[in-house]
Amino acid sequence: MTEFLPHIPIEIKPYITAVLASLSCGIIGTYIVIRRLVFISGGITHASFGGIGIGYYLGWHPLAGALVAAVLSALGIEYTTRKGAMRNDSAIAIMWSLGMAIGIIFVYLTPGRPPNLMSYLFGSILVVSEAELFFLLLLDIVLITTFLVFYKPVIYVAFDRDFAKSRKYPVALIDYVMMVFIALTIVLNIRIVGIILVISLFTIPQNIANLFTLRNKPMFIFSVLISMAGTGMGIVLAGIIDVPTGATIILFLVAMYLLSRLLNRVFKI
Amino acid sequence: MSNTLIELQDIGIAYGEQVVLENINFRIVNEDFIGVIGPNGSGKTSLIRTILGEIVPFTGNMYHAPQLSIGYLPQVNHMDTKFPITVEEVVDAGFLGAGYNTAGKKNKKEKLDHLLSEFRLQDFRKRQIGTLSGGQLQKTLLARAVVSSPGLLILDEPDTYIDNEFEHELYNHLVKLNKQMAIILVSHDLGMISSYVKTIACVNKTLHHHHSHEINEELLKAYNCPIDIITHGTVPHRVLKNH
Ligand SMILES: Nc1ncnc2c1ncn2[C@@H]1O[C@H](COP(=O)(O)OP(=O)(O)OP(=O)(O)O)[C@@H](O)[C@H]1O
Ligand SMILES: [Mg+2]
Repeated sequence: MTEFLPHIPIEIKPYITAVLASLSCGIIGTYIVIRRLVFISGGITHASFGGIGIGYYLGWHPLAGALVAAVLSALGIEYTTRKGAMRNDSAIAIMWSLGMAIGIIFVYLTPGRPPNLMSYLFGSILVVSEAELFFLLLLDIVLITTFLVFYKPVIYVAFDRDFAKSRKYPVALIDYVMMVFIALTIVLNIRIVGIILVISLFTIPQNIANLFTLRNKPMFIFSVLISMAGTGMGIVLAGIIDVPTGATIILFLVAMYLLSRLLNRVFKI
Repeated sequence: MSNTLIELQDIGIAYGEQVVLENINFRIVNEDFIGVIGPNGSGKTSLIRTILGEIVPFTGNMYHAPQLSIGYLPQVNHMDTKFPITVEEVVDAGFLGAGYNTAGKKNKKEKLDHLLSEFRLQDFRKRQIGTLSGGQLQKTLLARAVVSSPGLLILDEPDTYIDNEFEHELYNHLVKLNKQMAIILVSHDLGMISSYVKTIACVNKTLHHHHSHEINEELLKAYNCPIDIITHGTVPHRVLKNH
């Protein structure tokens, strides 16, 4: 179904991937950070490994399995949060390890050696297919459009859901839609840095941005730009010193964060 | 003419097994300015959250006038003050409602500017809320609650962080707003409450709506509201003992 996609030259593909990934991670990551959903997002990420394992076992595309697992666990968390009135971090931790355990069992049960397993765990920006890029582009378009049209209500609801409810605003609808966006963003960015590291793309750029601004709009924009710079530089550095790209991106982002803290201290920005 | 905005009939509220309020009968009409009093943990906030539809009572009926819009000022404690949002954005959130994306921008901006200057918040409008004092934050949240001119305004302890000067200003402002909207005000400051509100409702396991604004010891005892009251000052008015 995706044969119509143009072939992208291998030299520029990682950079296009970095840009498309940074748009989604910058936007959704900022939402995750300001709503304090980081731990929940970590849970969804690791639960998706269960889907990857089942995907291998059933002969699906592993990301299709990841997508189902991520969306189901995201909706499940939102549902139980609503029922229980409180977020239960133990329940999230259980889901987190359950997903990993299911993944490990099904990978083991899959005959032969599952191709590209390492690329899901640790990321491999070089094996991202044109089809994956196409879906990432679609996700970016949907996210940018949604955030442009509904930016203020989304922020206001994120800030104070009780108040929004008292105004009869459809808070539940927004929460569920955002949870699905979070799940999609996680799954489509797994291959960039891997399941183990993907949460850092949602948090480090945002925390760097937050050092320089206390406003929400600049935080979204800076996060996207910082993420682009971090992933781009990570790819370049990994190529030069010949080490894994995903881990290099994270190390570079952490270095950026520490440097920003230092600058922030010294110049009191 | 008085129209019923909200009516609770034999309402009971519980958290799990723990029953907080029982046999609540409470009618709110469009001219009301009701002060809600009661000891800590007596269920005042729970009552409000029920009126807002956030808590579903385990028994009883609740009537809401159709199209009734409610402005709400929550008790501050559970606010995420690190959230990247400015004073003017918080107030603008008060316009949230069915037609948020389509309503007239210019009209909203005028109302917002007017309210910010009336509440003396215009110098802080671009400030992130975590950098405000408690009183400034409280004023911001009050502005958010009234900016859309709701039919009913509900305030849960709006005076917690407010200095004395603004407290009187706040209450005078509420008296003015009461010409356009009904007000329910939860407060522990009996002195302030009894000199500004029209009627008093005492909450403790159940609710007694006393159709006068006078508070006296006999009344509170009868309603099982264990609050100490003394009279002080030259103007006879009552305040909490540890005032
Ligand atoms: N979410 C909740 N889950 C369980 N119990 C709750 C919850 N919220 C309140 N309670 C309990 O219900 C009772 C009433 O609480 P509520 O917050 O309504 O009191 P209040 O009158 O507003 O008190 P205060 O004057 O301290 O604000 C208390 O015993 C409280 O512990
Ligand atoms: Mg309370």
